[in-house]
Amino acid sequence: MEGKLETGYVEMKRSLKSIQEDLRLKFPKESFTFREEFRDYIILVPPLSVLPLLKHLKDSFQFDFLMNISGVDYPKKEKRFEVVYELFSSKTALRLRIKAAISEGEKIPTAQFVWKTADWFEREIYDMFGVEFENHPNMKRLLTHHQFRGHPLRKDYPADYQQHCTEALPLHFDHGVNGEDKRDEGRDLIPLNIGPSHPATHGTLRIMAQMEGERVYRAGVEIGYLHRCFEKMAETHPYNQVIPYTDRLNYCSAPMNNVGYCKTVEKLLGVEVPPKAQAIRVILCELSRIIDHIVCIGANAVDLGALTGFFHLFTYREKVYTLFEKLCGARLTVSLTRVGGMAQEPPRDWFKDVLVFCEEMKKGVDELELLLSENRIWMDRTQGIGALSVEEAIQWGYTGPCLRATGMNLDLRKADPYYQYDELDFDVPTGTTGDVYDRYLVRVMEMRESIKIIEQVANHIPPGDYTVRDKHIVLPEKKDVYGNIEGLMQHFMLVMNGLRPPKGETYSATEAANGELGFYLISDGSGQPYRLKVRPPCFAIYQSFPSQVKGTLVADVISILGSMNVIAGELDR
Amino acid sequence: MEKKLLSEHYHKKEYHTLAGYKSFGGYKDLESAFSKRPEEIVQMVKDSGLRGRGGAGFPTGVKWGFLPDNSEPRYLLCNADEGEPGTFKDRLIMEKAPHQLIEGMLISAWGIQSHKSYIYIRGEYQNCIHVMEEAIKEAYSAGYLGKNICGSDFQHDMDIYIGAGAYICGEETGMISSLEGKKGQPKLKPPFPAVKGYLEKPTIVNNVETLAAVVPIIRDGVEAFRSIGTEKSPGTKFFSVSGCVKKPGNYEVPLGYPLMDLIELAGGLREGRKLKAVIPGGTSAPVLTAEECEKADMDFESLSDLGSMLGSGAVIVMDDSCSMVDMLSVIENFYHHESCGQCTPCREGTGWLSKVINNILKGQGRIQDLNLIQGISENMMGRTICALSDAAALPAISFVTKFREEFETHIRETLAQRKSGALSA
Amino acid sequence: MSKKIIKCEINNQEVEVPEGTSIIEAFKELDQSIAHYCWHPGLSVAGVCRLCMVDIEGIPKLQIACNTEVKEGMKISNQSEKVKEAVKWGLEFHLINHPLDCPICDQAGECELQEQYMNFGQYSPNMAERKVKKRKVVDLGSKIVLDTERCILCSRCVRFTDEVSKTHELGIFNRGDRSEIGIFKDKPLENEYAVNTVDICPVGALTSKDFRFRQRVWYLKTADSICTGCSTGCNIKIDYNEEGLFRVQPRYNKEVNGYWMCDKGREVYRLPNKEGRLLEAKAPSSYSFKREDSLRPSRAGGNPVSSVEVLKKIRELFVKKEKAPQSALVLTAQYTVEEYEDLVSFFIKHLGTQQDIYYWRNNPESFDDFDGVLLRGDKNPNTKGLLEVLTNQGAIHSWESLQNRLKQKEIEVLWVAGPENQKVYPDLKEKIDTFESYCDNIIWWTAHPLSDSQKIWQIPTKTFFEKEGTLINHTGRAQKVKAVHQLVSSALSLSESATVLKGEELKKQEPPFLVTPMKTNHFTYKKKVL
Repeated sequence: MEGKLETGYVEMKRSLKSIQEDLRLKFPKESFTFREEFRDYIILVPPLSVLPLLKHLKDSFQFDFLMNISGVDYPKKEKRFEVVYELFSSKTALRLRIKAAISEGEKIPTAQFVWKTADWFEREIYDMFGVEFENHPNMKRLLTHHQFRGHPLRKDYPADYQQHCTEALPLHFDHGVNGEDKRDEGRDLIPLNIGPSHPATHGTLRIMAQMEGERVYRAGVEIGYLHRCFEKMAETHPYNQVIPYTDRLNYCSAPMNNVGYCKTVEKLLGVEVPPKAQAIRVILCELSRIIDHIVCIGANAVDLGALTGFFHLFTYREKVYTLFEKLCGARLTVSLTRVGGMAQEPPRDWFKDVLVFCEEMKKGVDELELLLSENRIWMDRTQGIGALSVEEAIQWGYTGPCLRATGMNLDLRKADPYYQYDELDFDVPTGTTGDVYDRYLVRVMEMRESIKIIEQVANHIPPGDYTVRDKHIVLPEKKDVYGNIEGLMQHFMLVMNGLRPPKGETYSATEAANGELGFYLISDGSGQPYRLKVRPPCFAIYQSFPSQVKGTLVADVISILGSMNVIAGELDR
Repeated sequence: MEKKLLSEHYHKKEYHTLAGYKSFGGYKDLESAFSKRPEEIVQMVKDSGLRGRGGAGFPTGVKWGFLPDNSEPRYLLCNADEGEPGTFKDRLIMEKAPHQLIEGMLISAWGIQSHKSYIYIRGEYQNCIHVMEEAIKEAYSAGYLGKNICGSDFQHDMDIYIGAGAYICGEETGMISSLEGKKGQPKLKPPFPAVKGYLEKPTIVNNVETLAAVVPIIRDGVEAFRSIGTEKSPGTKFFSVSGCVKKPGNYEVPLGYPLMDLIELAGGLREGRKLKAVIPGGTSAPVLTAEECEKADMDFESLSDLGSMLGSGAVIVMDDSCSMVDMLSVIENFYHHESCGQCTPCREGTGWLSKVINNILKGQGRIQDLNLIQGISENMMGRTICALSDAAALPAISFVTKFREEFETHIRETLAQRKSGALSA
Repeated sequence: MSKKIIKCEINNQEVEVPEGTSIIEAFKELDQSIAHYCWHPGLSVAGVCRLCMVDIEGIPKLQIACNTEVKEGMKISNQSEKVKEAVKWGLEFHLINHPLDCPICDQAGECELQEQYMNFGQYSPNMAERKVKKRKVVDLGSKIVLDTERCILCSRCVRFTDEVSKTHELGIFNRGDRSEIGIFKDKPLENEYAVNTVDICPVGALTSKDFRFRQRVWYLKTADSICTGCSTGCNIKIDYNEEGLFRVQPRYNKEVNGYWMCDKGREVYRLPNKEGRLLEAKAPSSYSFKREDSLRPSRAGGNPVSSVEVLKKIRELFVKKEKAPQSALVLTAQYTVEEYEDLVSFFIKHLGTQQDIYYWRNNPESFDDFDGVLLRGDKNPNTKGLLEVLTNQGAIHSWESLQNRLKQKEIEVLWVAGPENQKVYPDLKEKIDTFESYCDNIIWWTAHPLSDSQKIWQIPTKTFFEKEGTLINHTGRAQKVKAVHQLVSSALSLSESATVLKGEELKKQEPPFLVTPMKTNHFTYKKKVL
């Protein structure tokens, strides 16, 4: 395993070297700085060179995805803010980080015209930090409410300073339109507000539409109703205490968030979890994938009137809850992992129970297909709805089942494998048109593939410890804490001081149920993260919603929304 | 019969009185010593190769040579604490020939130009103390102590100081601390006592037997002294033979005497018994198995080649009726009781060793305890202010290594007994 | 006579030290870490913990660093495997009889056993036997409690009472692993410097009765300051958090106080705490005043009366008149030099002359006492500073003249900058009575309430913890205190009062309030600079 990583790493270095040389030739006058940290490649650029560089990298080096844009506040540095772009190439699985330092009041051009996905990411940075993006058509707050003053993720904003919103905004749309526009003269437009409390929006999402008859003339979304300042809380809590907060990101598949976060911290620490812990994490991720798809498909079907599927499917979700409960006592918000491995050893027969569940789930998926896959009404309601091309999807930053439904077979488990996924035998289903029906089919087939993976792993659990035993990272066993003074002292020191990764930054991503769930983590050497940015998969997907639903029927709006699997916990953090 | 340098006349009833001592040639060597210069005395002792008889075996003349060249008051301390378990030779010298010791001390004091000496006698030796006090009184009356000894202008005063039951006060700096009126805890070295000792002044600490041995060196000369014993370990030594022999007691033989012959000299083993082990130099010395005993000669080099040491010369003989587990627990309990508690490895390590071995003895041991004993002992050694820690560790390592089978059998059998209920837990 | 400089190498780093330096001192020079318990730079070398082992090239046996002098060209290392093994076993020996007291031990968070185990130990223990039981909660006197089980017998406290306080109360009793620290019969540990032994004790064996169980140290932040107990001006560090101040410990200063401070000085942490402070300005009841603008919303009990408003009224009544009333200014030596300059210059300009300024001395007879170690008889931190300011203004006058003028009712308005530390002014009540009987208008700056007198206007002042300024100690050394955290929102320093009395606008105060209202774990928050 080490050898494979090493050769992969060597290849990556070679390709990055060639990129570096090319950039030196193409941009001779620019002062680019190239750095490598924790096996990530970083280029520091002045703000005005960002756009040309991004364009060049996209065109010449196949960096087709802009995965994430984060902002960071360094109050003690000369240039206070930093805007960090995370690029990904689906062909070579290379990742590249571009950083630009900006002082207060300075503007940086928007990357929206290179990648549409930059839209909301930049709005979020404006909201959280106050950095303005030039030429951004809609530089308004995104996650905080319109009465909010200040920029919460700045270091001088106190973490407990609440500001309350006293009134809702009337309907508003992007691009400056506020319910009235000269182009609308003569049209009979009916405003329609869907949400945030609406049975068909799964989570607190507000959709505002202007209807022309049954068709949507214009749509807008308002998010942030479930914004709980996860990223600010991460800055004020020790690393292991952030894990319960991660549960509540995508609460339908909580273990995947735990795993994604712990994997990032472990990358920063330079620690690899033991094989047994990796196997357990894989099983948990795949179980979470299954239940997340259950929620998505079930809810999608319920919105369109197919209740039976929902009830049938949720039986299986209950079975997985029981499995989680056996592991840790909690069903939904599990906090199953710790930095360095798992929280505890699974009970004796847990893997047997998992295999029993797999058998039952296979039947469940079959039942579901019987109900929906060739159901006339279902096909009529979902085929041809919400279709989009691969290029469009990449522009918007789609990942996960929604991307694969369009025909692109990007799955991080195959493209950039982790936890020995490359030694497992499974397929990655892809669709053709990207419509709601394809997304449904992709999800159903993924459930079958996940069952396959679970069976393979559960039948061959490697022996060993469930966590690394580094005394600066992992708490001692209780028998040592109460049994000898050394265990007690180690426990005290870890809890008082927290585990401390070395100074540095890293980005690590896993293939979550919805797509690429990435964590950008900066450590300053203390017991709390300096900055933790979550790259939620449905954030990028939901951005495209207003343009996707334009011109569709109201009923289809619900259909499309359900297929995108927008979980508000992940979207708003 | 081998020549006895010291104990030739010990059996004479009046030898302990001044008159009796003088009638056998006592105090003549003191007078002859005064005719030599002090440096000559030191050189003679150096050339004689006399090694400390208290346990460490450090060349006496070399130790005397560490004194700095100045005129500060120098102290001579006679270490009569005799704490090493198994040793009872100094008692013999002090009870039978106190004046021999006094004469030896006076010659040494002349050599190192010391005007004050103390004899630190362990408090348990009530009889010795009484005899020494009488002898010193006699020496003062006869002009061998005090001002103008033997008509010269050399002045010397000698006092007895009584110990109060601490083995650690037999360690030289521990003894100095005790003499100063403080807790008998050893001091950090450097500075060494020869440079900064009693009351921060240059001090020489020597064992009773060492100081008594100075007399025959001056009497017979360096060559004669060197002709007895071995090249690196000249002269004779008292060996306190005890244990499973028919005639336990003190035997003065030349150094280099074979161990098996010494055991024979002490009457040999009891009827029907086989030799199992011998501790040749006090409990601080590693134990020798019966095979090793065949090859052992009683001198510093031979025993250290066999992995043990001559130490104080206390020979403890064990036959096949002895349990090595029991023996080790006695030894470790002793060191646990006697550790002064200053430095952590010794203070905690002796306690730990004692607990582990007692548990094994009681029947609550585990097989891994044997490796644990080795680990503890190896890490107690060489890391402390004085050598008590090494003295506690060496026997533990040697017993557990050389008699491992016996320990393992004991552990297994007592575990079985406990399980079957024969032994109460 | 300057010492020869010697070069040596420690862990492959070169360092130059004067002759006679021990290896462990050289380690401290380079700020390199080495395991140790019994060595302390302010005490003699004991060499009993045997942890500071180093590997010296050319010497096969490991040596202890505290008792070995550096020689020219020595190559020293404490990173070799041999040293690491020795340190691990040394730590294990220290811990085999240590009780599992961390949850109830005050030292958790600043315990050398915890820190050195994590830095140098990290082994799995082998001890499976019963631990030695000793006495716990032994009363050593009025200030200190001893727990003999936790004691690792490093003997720092014994050496302290022998060498620094020279009172010899502590000793080690029994021998072997039954050894215990203890006091002799009828001689408790009551010297003036006893609590220093709590600071130097590396474990929780000696604990201060005053601080026991009051706060866990990871909830405390530390700030540097100067002790205001007497004119020595020991450098201190104060532990505090959102709930108040908890503890004072000495800070090393070679010239002023070395490593130590006296026990009386440790009481200064009580002065700024809210309990006992004057929370709002008090005026004769015939006047009423506006309440302060709340700095933090929803305060139970209402907002305090604004001191600025009260001072404005005072200005109106007693300052801004064509003919200023006959005023006198009385100063105690407990404020900073800057405050004296501002207040005295205001007084001379607007209210009176140099003739009307008086210096209130609390104990002239015992002023020059000195106990030989640190305690001085002058219980004010800034006598020299006050005298300097007064001398510059030419304003030194005898107390008798004030008494006379008072008796003759010459003084209409008396301005008093009262003592921050009222305990060292035993004549305080008497003086208040005297002033009240002879003067009708008294304005008194004070940090703690005085009395319910109707005549006295009380203005709350900022304590040494809440303002920035200079204090000059008995040798003339100027030392600074800094504004760390303001506990009473309506308190004003003398300079700020002078500004308001002059009629100027006070710069909007941005007191350094701590951000979170709840106590937080400051240990994990110790951030590095990015």
